[in-house]
Amino acid sequence: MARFNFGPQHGHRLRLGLGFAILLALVTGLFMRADEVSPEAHYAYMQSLRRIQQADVELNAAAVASYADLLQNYDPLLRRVQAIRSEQSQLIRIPSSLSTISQARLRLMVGKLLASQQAKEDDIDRFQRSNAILRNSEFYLPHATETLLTTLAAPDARAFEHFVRHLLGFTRGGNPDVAEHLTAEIKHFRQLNIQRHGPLTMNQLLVHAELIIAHRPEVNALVERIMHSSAAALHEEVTRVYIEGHEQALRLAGYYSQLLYLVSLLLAAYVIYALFRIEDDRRQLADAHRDLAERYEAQRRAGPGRGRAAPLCHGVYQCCRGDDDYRCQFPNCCGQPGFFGNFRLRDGRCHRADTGRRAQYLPLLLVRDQYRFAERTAARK
Amino acid sequence: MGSRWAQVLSRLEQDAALTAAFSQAYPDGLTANNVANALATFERSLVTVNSRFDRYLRGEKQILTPVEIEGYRRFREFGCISCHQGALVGGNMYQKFGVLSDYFANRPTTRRDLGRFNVTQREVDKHVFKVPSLRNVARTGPYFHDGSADTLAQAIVIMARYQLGRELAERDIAAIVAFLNTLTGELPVASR
Repeated sequence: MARFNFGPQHGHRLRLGLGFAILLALVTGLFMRADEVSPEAHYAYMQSLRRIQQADVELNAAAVASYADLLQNYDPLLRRVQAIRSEQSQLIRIPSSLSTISQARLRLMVGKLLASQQAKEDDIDRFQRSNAILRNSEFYLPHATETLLTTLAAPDARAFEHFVRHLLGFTRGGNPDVAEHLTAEIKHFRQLNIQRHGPLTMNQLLVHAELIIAHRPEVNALVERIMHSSAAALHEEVTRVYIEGHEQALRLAGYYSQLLYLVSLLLAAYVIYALFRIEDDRRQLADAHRDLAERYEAQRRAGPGRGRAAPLCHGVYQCCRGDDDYRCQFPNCCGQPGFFGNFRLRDGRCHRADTGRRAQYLPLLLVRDQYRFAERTAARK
Repeated sequence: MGSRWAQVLSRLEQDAALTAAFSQAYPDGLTANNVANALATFERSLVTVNSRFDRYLRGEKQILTPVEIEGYRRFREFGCISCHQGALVGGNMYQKFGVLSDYFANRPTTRRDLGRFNVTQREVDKHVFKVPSLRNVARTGPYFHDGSADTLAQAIVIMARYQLGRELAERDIAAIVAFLNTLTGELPVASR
């Protein structure tokens, strides 16, 4: 198996390639990090937060309107709840531009917000149930009482009328302690066991009265809870945490942009330097060629050389003798030195040795070789 | 309704016409996915607007008979609208079945009678069901979660007794039935 000869020239090239690859990776990485904060993702997330906040406000308004009997149906409540629910999936998709710590903080807050929204949704559900029962009973009881009173004996009628008035006062935000007293009154009427003919019985009305006593405080408490739900505050907190995280990501992206700019400047400077070097080398090489041509022409004019009429050798790598680095071994050799010099005999043949770092001095070597050749030619003469 | 897909498919496969129809409509015939897709497609087609009641609300006052209008009045006065409200006349909330008295007392109950409890496992959700929309209710019998009421009249009696705490007169029941019939919308053209 052939073994790769890892000379100093290869090492230099490998280091150069590796350095270039690292620099390229650095520029690519910086470019990607600098462009990581997507305005579209940020806008979408902020829109989602805003829509949830808006739906939450409207949900509160619908609950209060329903509580105040300004709203006769629960469609708006349901719509807002569904709007919040549909946005939740967007909310848990936290933009990846945020740092890991910000993402963790935001995920925690979003979790709390979702839990709070779920609790609020449950409260809305219970409010709808209780309020529907309450509406029915509060609407029905006064009408039914009116009918019932016409059929009751005077003392019972007066007592029941007083009870119903008391009860209606309780429903209009009366003292919650009255509930106990009203319950006692219901018990009292049940004990009286007042009988009357017809489909309407006092017991039916007492059941409605019990429902009102049970559900009115519950509805009041539920509306209070809905209005003071932690969802709004948590929403603010989520927005704050997200904006902080986003600003941090923007700052970081800004740093990366600056770094990218700096590295790009360095790269540009290096490219300019390399161009200058290439141009300089080219000029030196051109000068060396010109000098060589002049010397060759001078030799040619000085007299007929050994290989003057002969064609120029081919394959200078193979043509130099071991005892004379610069002379060709072809019979009709042109007598020129091995181009770029520095040949060594190996296995009976002449091979070009590795020039390595000396490559940059090749024009100078060429001049040196030419000079030596001229000296030897003069000595032979 | 608590069935497994294998049971559903096995039962549907017994209907040759249905199997043939599925083969015609779907390249892979009768499968669980295709049944779900067919049901969803059917439900999406249930846009039955322009019922006589809709037209009445839009101002065509002559479109309802006096009995139907009386039924609508009773429907509101008796408190049915506390739950059956909104654009769909219901369908936007849950409610306990048996508010004023226990509907499930003195009758054998099954798991399905627990209603929403089966989903939430919360005590407050026992015997709580979604209030159904009354749109096209005249065509969607039998009624209730267990299909225990065959006719609208039976359903109204039970609702009045257990949800509203009232015993309705025959005349009121007939009027409400007449009103509920006005909620039947126009079927999509393809379904007629």
